[in-house]
Amino acid sequence: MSAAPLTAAVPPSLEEIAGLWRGDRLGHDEAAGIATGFAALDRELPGAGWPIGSLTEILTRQSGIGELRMLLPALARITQAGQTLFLITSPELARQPVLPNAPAIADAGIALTQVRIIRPASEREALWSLEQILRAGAPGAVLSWLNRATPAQLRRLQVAVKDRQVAPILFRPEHAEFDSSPAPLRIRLEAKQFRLAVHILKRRGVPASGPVVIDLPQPARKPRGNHANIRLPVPAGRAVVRANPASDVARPIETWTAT
Amino acid sequence: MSLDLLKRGQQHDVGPLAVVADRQIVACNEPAAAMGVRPDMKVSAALALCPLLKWRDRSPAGERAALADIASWAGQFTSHIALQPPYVLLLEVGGSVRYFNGLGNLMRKVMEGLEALGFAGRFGVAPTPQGAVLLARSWLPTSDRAVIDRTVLRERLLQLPVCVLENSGGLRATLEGIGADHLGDVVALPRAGVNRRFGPELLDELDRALGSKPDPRKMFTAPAKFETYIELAYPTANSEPLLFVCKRLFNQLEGFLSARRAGVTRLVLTFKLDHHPEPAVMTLDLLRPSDEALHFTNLLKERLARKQLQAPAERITLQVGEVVPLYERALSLLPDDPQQQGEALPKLLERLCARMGAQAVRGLRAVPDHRPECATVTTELQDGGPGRRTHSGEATLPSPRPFWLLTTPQPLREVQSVPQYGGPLKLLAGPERIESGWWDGADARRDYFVAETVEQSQVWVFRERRQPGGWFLHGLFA
Repeated sequence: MSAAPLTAAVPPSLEEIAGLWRGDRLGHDEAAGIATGFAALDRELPGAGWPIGSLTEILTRQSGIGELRMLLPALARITQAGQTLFLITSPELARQPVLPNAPAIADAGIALTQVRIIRPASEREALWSLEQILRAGAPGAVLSWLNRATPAQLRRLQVAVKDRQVAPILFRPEHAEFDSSPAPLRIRLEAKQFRLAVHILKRRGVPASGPVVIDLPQPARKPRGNHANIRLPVPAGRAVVRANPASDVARPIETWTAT
Repeated sequence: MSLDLLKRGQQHDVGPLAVVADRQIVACNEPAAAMGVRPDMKVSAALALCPLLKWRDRSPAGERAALADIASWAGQFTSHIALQPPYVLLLEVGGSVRYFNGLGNLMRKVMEGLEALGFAGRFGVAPTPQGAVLLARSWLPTSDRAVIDRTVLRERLLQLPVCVLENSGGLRATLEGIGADHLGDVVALPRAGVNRRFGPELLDELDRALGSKPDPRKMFTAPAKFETYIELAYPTANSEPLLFVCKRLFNQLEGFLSARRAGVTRLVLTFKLDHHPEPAVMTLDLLRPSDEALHFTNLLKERLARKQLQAPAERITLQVGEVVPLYERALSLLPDDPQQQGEALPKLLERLCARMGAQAVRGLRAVPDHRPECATVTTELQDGGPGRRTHSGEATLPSPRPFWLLTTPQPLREVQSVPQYGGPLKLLAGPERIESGWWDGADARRDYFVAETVEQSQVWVFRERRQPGGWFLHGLFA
């Protein structure tokens, strides 16, 4: 009785079995997203970018820490490809009425002709227009600021955007973290000494192990001392001419992952 | 027809309605009939039976105009149309049968369309125009009222009673008295005698119907301008019935436009209000010319959801802006054609505009001006639409600019010469001096700084250099 060669029965490697998915991997088989422009962040996102056809929630405690700067490379790419960028500027976006500043947006590489500003009078109208945009499915991205959206409303939006070529990004307050949400990707942002810590609260696939820290273009670099090193100009006419320390905005984007 | 003009101004029979000529009821709707109102009744008698009866005098001019409106609408089916007032519209459909996929489909389309306009109608199809008229006036079942063959037409016409003839007015009793109940009997009589006894019109009509005599008609030419109205017998400010009535107007417009292969970009609805001197006017502006009644209805629905009429409307008039040719688009076999997705965007924007107003849906443009508040212009969608590039690779900004600008700069409190915004602000960069605009009255002399709040968000503040000075918040980096 001769033993059959065992090696023939055992597949050479687990990796070669079709259809086998290992639990420690991200679900990379879904539709590719819009690359974020930050390699470290792309690695952590299923679809290697901002998801298309499903909601993305970005939670921040306060606006102004870089939540838009983080999106700019992706938004620049889609508008340059001729897709549409909708900004639904809810009345509650900031504490006072604001308008997007065209020169800054153009400077970030976003094609202004592709930008549409929607200024609803109430959050209700904001939700309505968001749903209309998602349903119409014109390819592009939608940014909207929602303070009081309920899980039922979000579910409705998630259904509306299914199979559409739109990337809807909802900015919500930080306390919404503990509300249930149908958004497949949820992110909380934290300002960390002139960098941005991206906590991935929820994603398809395995939970994220720790925050991704990305280096954003800053309007001003961290000063060495306190603000006293900026001399205030004398109000009455005599100008103090100074080199502008903010000229280092255009330095290349570096990314790294915090350990 | 006279009753339809009253009835089409409502969604369902709201209440009793009647049309009156010479103080006598000519026609009444079902609720009125249920109360015992009958044609040929005196108005006073009808009012006694039905005190709520609303009645209008018959308007021959209105009926003529309505017939012409229907004719312009019917231009989508054929270009050969003739009017035969008061109630008959003749369409030469021989050339259109194939395009509409058979006579049955064509007639169904015509009758359904007519109903959507709010008019009831009967049709007859025959090789001769007068033959079709007689068939339409007969009580034959629907399937027997469409005849294509001339010999069949002759057979069928000769069976009809004499009352279908338009010129049989006062002759009917006499004809029946001599035993000529049907057209066949009239044909069998000696022609000379009939002509002498009843006048030449009777046989003339019959000959034209049978095709033994030529019957040229004057072709109808549709007016170049579109304007129409519907009277509401029961005025309402409710959006649902209003929408229903406007849909009839839009359907009429759709027919008018598709006859021309054209579209419109502006629709003006004028609502004449009950007890109000000023009419309410609603303008629907489209980004692209369209001829779809459904799209117009959706836009109006959003508009009415936003703004109700302040009083019941008793008459709705629809006018349109310039009629522009529509470009044909090839139908695609593939479901998600990128071209179709491109169509979705203007429609979406129109919907948003209709609901929230054009002020709430804007494009964006950068203007070379040093004053930050003047460097951004929001544009109407028409001039900022895709395809037209206004922004050409500008030089990068000399210094960072915030993404959000406050529409009005917010004064900041100052504690020991440090500006406060939810705590003391830390100045990170600056100053950048902006002095501009002395020529247009909006003079600005400011020193701008990038500052950090205690919450680590970055803001753009300035120090006013003109008296009385002070710190202001002007932008938010985001």
